[in-house]
Formats: sequence, structure tokens, C-alpha cells
Amino acid sequence: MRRVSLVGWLWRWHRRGGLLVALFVLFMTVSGIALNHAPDLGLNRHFLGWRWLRDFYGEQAVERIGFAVGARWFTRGASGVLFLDRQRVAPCEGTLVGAAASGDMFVAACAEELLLLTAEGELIESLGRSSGLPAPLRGLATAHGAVLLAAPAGWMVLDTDAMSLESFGGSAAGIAPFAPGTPPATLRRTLERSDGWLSWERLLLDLHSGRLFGRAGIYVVDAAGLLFAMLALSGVSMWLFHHRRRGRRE
Amino acid sequence: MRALARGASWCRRAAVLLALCVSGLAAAEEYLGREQFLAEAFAGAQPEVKTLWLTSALKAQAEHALGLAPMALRVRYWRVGERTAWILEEIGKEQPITLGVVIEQHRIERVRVMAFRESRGWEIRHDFFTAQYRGLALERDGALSREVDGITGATLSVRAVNRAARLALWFDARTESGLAAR
Repeated sequence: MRRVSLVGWLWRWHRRGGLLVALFVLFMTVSGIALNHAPDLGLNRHFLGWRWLRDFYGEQAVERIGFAVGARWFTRGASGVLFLDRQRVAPCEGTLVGAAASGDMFVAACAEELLLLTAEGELIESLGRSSGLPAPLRGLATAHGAVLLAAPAGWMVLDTDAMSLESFGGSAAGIAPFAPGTPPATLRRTLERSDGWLSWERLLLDLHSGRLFGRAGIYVVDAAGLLFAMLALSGVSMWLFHHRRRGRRE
Repeated sequence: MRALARGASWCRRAAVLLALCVSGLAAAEEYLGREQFLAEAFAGAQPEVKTLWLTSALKAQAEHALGLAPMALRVRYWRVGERTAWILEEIGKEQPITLGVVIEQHRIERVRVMAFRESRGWEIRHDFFTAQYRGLALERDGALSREVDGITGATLSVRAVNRAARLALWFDARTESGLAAR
């Protein structure tokens, strides 16, 4: 009698647990298989442009700013990539703080990285903190034909051949960093679509782990995992009892 | 049925807070600056700064030989005699890793992780891993002369270091002394 009530108890909670996590199991199975084959499925190369989802991720819906150099615009996307008009140039670490022409080249300054580009937007060389850039940079200006960068120690002159910076020996009076502006609306819309950072792989990873919903989501996934374990144990227990009972009858 | 209703009621009462999950980047860790790396590489001797220009033809050769297309047009390196030092950046999973590679007589003398920006895989910066690159050369097929043991959980970071090592060796072979040796 006691064994029957124990099996009955197991069966009831096995059923309840199974119902409770059925959807989780299905979702975890599908997302797990997809993540295992993410590169083959191209999940890391396809990006989601849904505004509401990017807002949910905390992407600041700030107006895209940039720096105009002649008729061309430098902007930096949420993915950290520098754009010259619609053209993706290269990753640029830190907030975009200025851009200017230097002879037949462009100089683009982000807070933690300096990029030297050809007139066609091809990367010539970059200089980061590890390579001696006095970061964080706060702005960029031009004076007497030279490109000046606002470093923590003050204005510095850029030598584009040596990619080195030296203290600006002249008077800093009247030197002001270039101010950012707002690119044309058509360009902003195009960049919004081109600047992908939220991939399907990222979304699936965050859903699979529960991280999309913060710490509570993680705990919910943990609880589902414990329920999976309970289902396995209760299922095996019921099989054992049934197997023994059949053995005794025989 | 009663149990199911109780379970559903519990789920409804459970407080699942929909907090914003900001997928922010891990803060960069800088382990070694340029001057420190060069001082180590050349034992205090003052190296000569040189540049290697990567024409379209050279980039195509690199892609053919290594399966890698360098992004920049100009690569800076430092030289004392037969020893060259390169500072390269390679993407791990999503962020660049700054790596210093020292080459002597077309073999790697040392590899150092100068800056790491990913949230995982930082184990590559330890000597137990980077010491494997000592003495490695570039084979004709563009592979390293010996396989490097990876680190579980740092696969993409390890691949980035391998790419930087191969690129540095390939660049070194195309400097003036490299071409003269060939």
C-alpha cells in the first residue's frame, strides 16, 4: 500500500513537473541545437534591427551624431565600427570625438583609438592605448595645417608618418575641438540598418541562459534545470518500482 | 487538476522582473604597454622603427598564403639586427586582442598578450600558453611549424593568437632582411 502511494505521489509530481517545464524543454532543445550550429546557420552574421528589442537591451536611443569633414560624415555605430558616410571602415574603440582631413588622408579620433584613413576610407594605420596613444582623447582640432588631439595632458600634435604624438608647443588660445553634428536623416536611417550588433546568436544565447531578463531570468532557468533533474529522478524511480513489481509477479 | 491550478497560481505570483539586460562590453585589461614590450623585446637597446606597406598585391598574397587579409595598409615594426617586434590586433570573439610578437631569424622568440577586451578567454595571457610559440616558424602552407595546445573555453582567443603569430612571421619574411634571406 505504501509503495503504491509513493509511486502515485511520484507520478503526480512527475506529471506536474512535466507540464510545467514542457515549453522550457522544447525551447531549450531547439535553441540549444541552433546554438551548437550557429556558425553554419549564419546566426552570428545575421543581425536584428528591431528597435524595441535593441531598446530592451539598453541601447541608448540617442540621436546619432557624427563629424562632418567637407561633404562627408564620420559616425560610429553601436557595434563600435566607424562609418564614413555609408561605408564601414574599421572598429574604433571608444566614443567618436572628432575627425578631420590631413592632406589627402582622414584622421578619425575615438576616445581610445586613432585611425588614419585614405581619402577612399581605407584604413592605413590605427593607434591604440597599447601602442602609446595617450587615452582617453577628448577632441580633435586643426591648427596651422596640423591635426591636434585633446589628450589628458593637453593638446598634442599628430605626426601622421610616424603615428606619434608630441605636445603642442604653441598657444592653445583659440583652439577648440570640432563639435559634433547631426548627419542627414537619410544617412542616419541607412546607418541604423547597416550597424548590426545584435545577432540572432546573441539573442538565442541570452534567451537560452535567461540572461535576457536579468538575474531573475537566470534563476528561472536554474529552477527549470532543477525540475528537469527532478523529472529524470522521478521517472527512473517509477521505472524501478514498476520493474521490481513485475519481477515479483513473475 | 487542483495541483495544476495551484502550480499555475504560483507561477502567476512568482515575481519575474523584466530588468533591462545591457549587453555591455567587458572592460579592457591592459597588461603591457608598447614601451615596456619593446624594452623586453630588445633588452633595452633602442630599436629602429620601420614600416611595411601592404599593397593590394601583398594583401592578396597574404590571403592566399595564410587565409588572412590584413586590414591596415601600413604595419609598423621595430628592428635591431635580425630581431623584429610586431604589435598586432586580432579579433577574438567580438573584441580585438592586442598582441606583441618578437621574431628572430624568422622564428618566434616570444608572444605577449598586451591588452585583452573579451569577457572570457583571458587565460591566453599566461606564460604556460604563450611559451608554446617559442621557436615556431611558418611552413610553406602558411601553418605554424608545430601545433599549439589550446585552452578549453578560450578557443577563439587561441585562434586569434595563432593568426597574429602567423601574420607576424609572414610580415617578417617580407621585410628587407626577410627578402634578402630568401
